[in-house]
Amino acid sequence: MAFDINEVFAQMLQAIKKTAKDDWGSIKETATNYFQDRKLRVELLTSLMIDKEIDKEFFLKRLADEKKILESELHSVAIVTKAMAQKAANAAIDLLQAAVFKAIG
Amino acid sequence: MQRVIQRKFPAIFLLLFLISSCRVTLVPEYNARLETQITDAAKATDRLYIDLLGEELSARNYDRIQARYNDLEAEINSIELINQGRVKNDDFLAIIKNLKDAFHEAKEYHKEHKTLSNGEIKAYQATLAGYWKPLYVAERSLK
Repeated sequence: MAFDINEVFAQMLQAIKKTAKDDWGSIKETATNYFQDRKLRVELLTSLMIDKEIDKEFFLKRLADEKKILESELHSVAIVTKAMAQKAANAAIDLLQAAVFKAIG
Repeated sequence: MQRVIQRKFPAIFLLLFLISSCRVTLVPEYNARLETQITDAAKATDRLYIDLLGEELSARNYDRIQARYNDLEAEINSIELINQGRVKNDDFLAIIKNLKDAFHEAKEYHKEHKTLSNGEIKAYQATLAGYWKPLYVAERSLK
């Protein structure tokens, strides 16, 4: 069966998009960037194995690394999302504080 | 209005106190020096493999570059230590653990095999860059 790497990555991106729901807009750029990086890395690793520059065992270990890298990327996306939420919440508090100060002169 | 404010002053004062002390903290504070440390260490990792690729196979002996591996490992440990002292550091520590394990594996592989092929160098260069990037992106998002 043919393996269309672009199709697989598009489906993975859609799956993340579906999960992320409301946060998708803020993390879209970061997530898309990570998926593009992954695509390039997996293409490189595949070509290295096909050209016999690395053996199958080494290739499989690097694919296992991809799972760990994805885990790191998800932690990174979580930080990006939390940082945005923190900035928004504190900006709202600053507004409230300014309004209270203005009210009491 | 002024009289209302005067009458309600204790309540307003309390509200102001609560508002001013109420800051939402979900992530650690941005650290410019740490961002520089991360970019420098990521660059040094990349440079290690670029240099190896430029060497003859016989000159890629692990013993010749063991000190560079050790320097980089110490840098990763330093980044981990700084992050251990930050608040809300769980996600950062998870990213660093993955990076640390991957770098250690790459170092041990080279040590065990004495040398690396062109393909192995290119693969490690790409993979370790993949481990560094989430850490860099995360730190920058705190700005």
